Amino acid sequence: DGFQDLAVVDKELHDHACRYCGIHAVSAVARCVTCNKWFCNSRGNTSGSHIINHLVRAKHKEVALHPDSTLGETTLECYSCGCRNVFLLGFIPAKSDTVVVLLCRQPCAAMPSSKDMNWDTSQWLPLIDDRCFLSWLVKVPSEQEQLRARQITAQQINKLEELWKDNGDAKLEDLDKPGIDDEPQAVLLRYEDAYQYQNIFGPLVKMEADYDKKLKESQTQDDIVVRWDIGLNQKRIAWFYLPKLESGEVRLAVGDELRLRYRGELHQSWECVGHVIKIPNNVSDEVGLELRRNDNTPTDCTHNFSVDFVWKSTSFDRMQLAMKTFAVDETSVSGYIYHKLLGHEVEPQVLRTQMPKRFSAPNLPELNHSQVYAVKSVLQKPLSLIQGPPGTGKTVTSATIVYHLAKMNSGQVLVCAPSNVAVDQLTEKIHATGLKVVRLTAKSREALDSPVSFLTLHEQVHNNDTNAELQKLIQLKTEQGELSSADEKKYKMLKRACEREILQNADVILCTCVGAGDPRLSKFKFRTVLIDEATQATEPECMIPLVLGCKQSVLVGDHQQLGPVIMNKKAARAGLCQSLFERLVILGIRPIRLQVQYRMHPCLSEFPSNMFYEGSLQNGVTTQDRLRKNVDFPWPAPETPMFFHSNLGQEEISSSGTSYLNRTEASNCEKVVTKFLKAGVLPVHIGIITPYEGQRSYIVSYMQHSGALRKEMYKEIEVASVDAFQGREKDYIILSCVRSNEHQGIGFLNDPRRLNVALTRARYGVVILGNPKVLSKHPLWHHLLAHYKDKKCLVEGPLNNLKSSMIQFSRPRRAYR
Amino acid sequence: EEEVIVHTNRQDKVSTSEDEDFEREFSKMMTESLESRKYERKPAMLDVAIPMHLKGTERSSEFVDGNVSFTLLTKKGNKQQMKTMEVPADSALAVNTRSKQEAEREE
Ligand SMILES: [Zn+2]
Ligand SMILES: [Zn+2]
Ligand SMILES: [Zn+2]
Repeated sequence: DGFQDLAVVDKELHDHACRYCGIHAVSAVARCVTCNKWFCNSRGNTSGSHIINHLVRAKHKEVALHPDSTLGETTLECYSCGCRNVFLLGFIPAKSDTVVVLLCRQPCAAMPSSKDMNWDTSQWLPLIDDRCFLSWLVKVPSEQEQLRARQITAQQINKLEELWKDNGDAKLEDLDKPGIDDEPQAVLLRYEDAYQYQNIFGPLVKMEADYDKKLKESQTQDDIVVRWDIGLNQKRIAWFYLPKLESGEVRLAVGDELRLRYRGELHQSWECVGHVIKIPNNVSDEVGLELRRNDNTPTDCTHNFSVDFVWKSTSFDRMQLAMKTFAVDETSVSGYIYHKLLGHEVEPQVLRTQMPKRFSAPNLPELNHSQVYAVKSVLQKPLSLIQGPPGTGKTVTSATIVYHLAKMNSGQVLVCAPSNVAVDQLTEKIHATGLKVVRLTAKSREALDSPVSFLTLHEQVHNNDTNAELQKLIQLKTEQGELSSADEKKYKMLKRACEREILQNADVILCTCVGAGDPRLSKFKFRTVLIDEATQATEPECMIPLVLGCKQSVLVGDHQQLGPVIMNKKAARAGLCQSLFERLVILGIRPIRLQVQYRMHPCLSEFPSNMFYEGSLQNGVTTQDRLRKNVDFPWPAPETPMFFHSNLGQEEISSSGTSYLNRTEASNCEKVVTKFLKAGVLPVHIGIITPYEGQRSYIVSYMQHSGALRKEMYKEIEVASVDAFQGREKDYIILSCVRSNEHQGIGFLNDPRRLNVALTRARYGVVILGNPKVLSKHPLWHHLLAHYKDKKCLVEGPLNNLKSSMIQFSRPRRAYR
Repeated sequence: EEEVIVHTNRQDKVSTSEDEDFEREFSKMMTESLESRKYERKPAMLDVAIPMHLKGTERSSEFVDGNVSFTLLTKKGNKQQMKTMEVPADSALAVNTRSKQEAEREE
């Protein structure tokens, strides 16, 4: 075995040496056909083998073996169709002989085996197992040899791959050269002045913008099949599937712009921009795109379309502008707020206002003790933070505060949140108090229906009856589609005046944080600003509503739940992922915490309360309120509707080939769901949380194909990521952890804030499916497992015969906190 | 079955954000690959002939250093090629084939 004794001295002499670590035993390396670089099949210090690391990071997919290896020069490909994507390839054995052949998983190996066939497709075995090539195809270098090779970290691999994008010959040593590794300046806790603030955040916002642009623009998708339709507003709508979405690479939101192109032979080349009016949901995976123009649309064609993502800089531009305003315009915020935001020491300030006699607002629920305390304490303070743990009535509290602020002050109160959903919820609640409310939406969202449509600025303009001339022009425009240029000019002018009037007469104006930078608000000064979900916004995003003249501000959020999503790793590392709320907490502003939760059965709130809120959460609901006697479900402890089901379903050697999904968990998940459904729980009241897109789509299709009940029953069950469930609740939650692997961490589940969100969505019961052995390595999960064990809720076995699990936990790797 | 596995330092590494990033990318690669073939038309039948001289041979039971020899069929152009591949006797592939052959012999 010549492999054992090879010294790795002259690694650069060998063309076929692993470009990461230098290992060059011919049977242990493989060549990337796309870029002609060689890599070995050892993991080194990473969770996948070097060759797999390269393929994934470079997005290459084809591999050849070394001419001197036992199999000789072989390009791995499907015997039947010639597909060379190694992520799809696997072996199938002959039924009765020791003969194997390589087949692609889809479509060739997806054929059922017939009796007279030589091959057994059910035995399909993926080439890549546990993120490593099968060791008998490409050898795994011995431990000893790996230790003698160059040690390369995942981080170095990352950087090297980045370098190769510009220069394919770059070497590991080049990483040490100056200029390669420039990290941006990290955010600070305190800033000298607003210029320094702008100088640090400006580049981070730019980095994020550049990254977002690059990502969006690289997402062109070809071979789109279009179904044509006409909307109620007479605009063309194109319906199609976007496979890219399923992979989770890009997010698509309603209102986003896409460019649809036709390059076929049946019609001249055509393209048109439109905005998304529907994204995939449980009902259908179709995307709906409303086109801007109606002329010359190739509606007789269905195939040969492509879709590009149109990147818009608006939100980033508005952040930059807000920071600039903060720096150059002294009237952008009050002196007190200016210094507080920068982390300077300031004498406490009390605003002179008349406190209300009653703290609850009309048509909103009576406030509890801690909510009243929160309302009381913020009304006279120029800057305050409210922390609202899950289910503590954050929205009602915010709406009540806004009610009082509007009554106490002249001028409009500006109310923002990073997401449209949150803004809509607040709009509804504040409207209920009887205040005059205007919801300002982005132009691209105007066509969308929502429960608060009638409160939006454009609807209010549309429905106003004070200006007959404007009404006439609106009617004309709707009927004819367009106006003469003179009329158009007039229309625009009248519309602007009408908008201004409506806004000026409002008590409260609501929009997203980014929406606060809308030109329609540019003439306004907002003395009083409330930002909900403030912990999910980046600092520059929060600045947009604040720099419009703020003298009093209330930030509402929970820094123990998920923070803002930053795509660019460098910008995130430099601190762009920290919210303003969080920094103010670190600076010593104590958030007022809402302490009574009304969502969860007390047994469900116990662990999150102890782990994330110093045990301070009180229960506003009793055990009796949250027990469903008529729901027949085998809870191991009947008064404690929760359990952790030990799923040791390890790596898949079956035809799935994708270890990121966990079939055992998916099938157990279906069983749990079916049990709930049979017990009479409605599908809309069940939520399935899983951190991985692969598992999400697998569970959806598994329930569709293998569910014991009618397909329609499973369609209404929401299966989504933790992030998608933030801010929402369900009666029953099933959490499928997926991770069950010795070689990797537990991925997304590692983040305590994500775990907190996952555990606090359910009102009546929680079922966790996971591998205790693997999860217990992580200190936080170790605590959780111990908690479930204490409560006699750590179980294993079939659902109709659950038994306490005696499984030994692993030792946690390092202490939590 | 449930004894504690002792890890060396190397294996017991704490996963980094790069690792998580990689795992996410890996999952994407898998999903995307599969997605891209969703609408690929299925071949009417699998047309892979097993060469006569390989049929019914008893070579499977021959162990060499704990390995079983399998023949891998590949194609060069339109020509079928045969390559010998050593598969560990305890791998799922070898175990399955062996048990099937034994079952057949008993029939
Ligand atoms: Zn490559
Ligand atoms: Zn290597
Ligand atoms: Zn194929």
